[in-house]
Amino acid sequence: MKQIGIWILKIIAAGIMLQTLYFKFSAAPESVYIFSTLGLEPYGRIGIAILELIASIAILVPATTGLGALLAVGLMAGAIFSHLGKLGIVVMDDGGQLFIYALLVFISSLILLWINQEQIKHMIVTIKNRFLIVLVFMISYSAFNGLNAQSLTKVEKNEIMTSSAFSSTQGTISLGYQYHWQFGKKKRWEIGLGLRNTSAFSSKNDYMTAPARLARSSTVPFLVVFSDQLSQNWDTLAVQRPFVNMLNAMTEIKYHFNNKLSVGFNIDLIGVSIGSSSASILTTNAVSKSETNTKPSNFNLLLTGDLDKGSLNSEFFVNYQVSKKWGIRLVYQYLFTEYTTKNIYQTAPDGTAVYQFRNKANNLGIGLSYNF
Amino acid sequence: MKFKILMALVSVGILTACTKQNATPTIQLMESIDSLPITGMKGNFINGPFGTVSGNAFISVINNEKKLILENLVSSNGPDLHVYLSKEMQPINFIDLGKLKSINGTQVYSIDSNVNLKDFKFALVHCQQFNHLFGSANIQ
Repeated sequence: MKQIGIWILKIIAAGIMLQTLYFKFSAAPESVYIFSTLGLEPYGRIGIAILELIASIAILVPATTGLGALLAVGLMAGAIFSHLGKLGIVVMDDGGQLFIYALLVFISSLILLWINQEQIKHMIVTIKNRFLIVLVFMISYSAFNGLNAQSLTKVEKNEIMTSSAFSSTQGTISLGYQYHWQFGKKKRWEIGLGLRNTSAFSSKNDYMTAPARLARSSTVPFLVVFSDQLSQNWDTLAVQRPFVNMLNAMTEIKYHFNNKLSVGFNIDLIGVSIGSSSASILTTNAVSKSETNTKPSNFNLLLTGDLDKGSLNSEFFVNYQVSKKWGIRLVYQYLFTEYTTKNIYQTAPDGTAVYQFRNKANNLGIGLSYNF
Repeated sequence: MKFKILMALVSVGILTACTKQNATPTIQLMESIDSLPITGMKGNFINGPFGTVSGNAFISVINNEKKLILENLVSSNGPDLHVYLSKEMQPINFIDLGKLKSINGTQVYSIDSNVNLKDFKFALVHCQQFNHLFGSANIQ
């Protein structure tokens, strides 16, 4: 019975989206009118149609229903806000039909999302995907809604940002500078490029086998993030007093909801690390080996997921502009740190020696930004 | 106001992270060893470079269940003290039997049954975090 109900919801959500796709792709007058009004014609129309197609297929495939529903909720939230705003509930004498459709898809997707929340939670606990999920939601929501609102006042191009984040096992402090470019029709998107120093310290922390060929089932860039974790290949290096100082080039993407509130995420790209050497203990099948001179890996490079080299910081943040110059932010930080052993090593199943070990930390904190 | 709440949360986070000190309990332990047959393998603790430890170390084996017994142990206290079975007096190859349960009294530690006891001759009280040897017993 429950299964039938779920399939009805799936068919409502995917069916309505797929059916309206035809009008979007074929540039039907209603579609062109809607997207011209929103200032999105033609790329917005086609882009949103593609996103809706992805969402519909994902909803129908059991393994990805939750993700598809999340995407659909974002898209429909944007659509509903557009109807309530610039577009109006009644579009070209349709008696509010399109608005009702958007509501129906929104509600069915929301229920599907709730039923399949485990899918999302599973991804959230295992991988970096939380950034992707938030980004998917941001893009899908803003695709519809963001561009029909007022233009943003110009933001300053230079920014100094600092943050401090903690978890039960480590603490971090970061300081950086970046230069911004605003883009998009209403200048709501911002992309930044800069330099950031992050210091991570803890009293004792576990580092796992780093090379992606051992840690993951796939080593294809990007796909590696979604691939299975081969925990049977992992050994643990307990670094006794870790302190890693990483200086990396970074990039940031930010979306402004209005002049006060923005969200974004940034990620380190390439750089160097220094830090004091520490005693460390490598344990394999209950037998431990120790050395006193384990050091942070010197070279850092973003290659996505476990392909990454060295220590890299990334932050998702919500920024609130207290004044034109000062902003405060809530920061969720996902931090990779890597140590390289000198004398002790793991012998991998393929016989090679492994000297690199990685710690992945989820930290929460606050930050400040100063624009000038 | 929200900012203050946030600051308070962050401060709590910092404090709990920093107060996670690992001093060893000082309460006197008297774990029962009457039912454990003692093998011929034993040794007496001597002081290491960073602490003072006295007492006896025994190995007990029943049905391939291996245990290390520390009898009447008295150790100076320190952070992150662990009990090791080690190949060397200064541990490089060793088995971590866990945190030292108390700096005072008789205590029993389980050893993985796959461990070849002939290889691991030293029972150690070792400060793991700072890699400081507090005391060692050569088990023969």
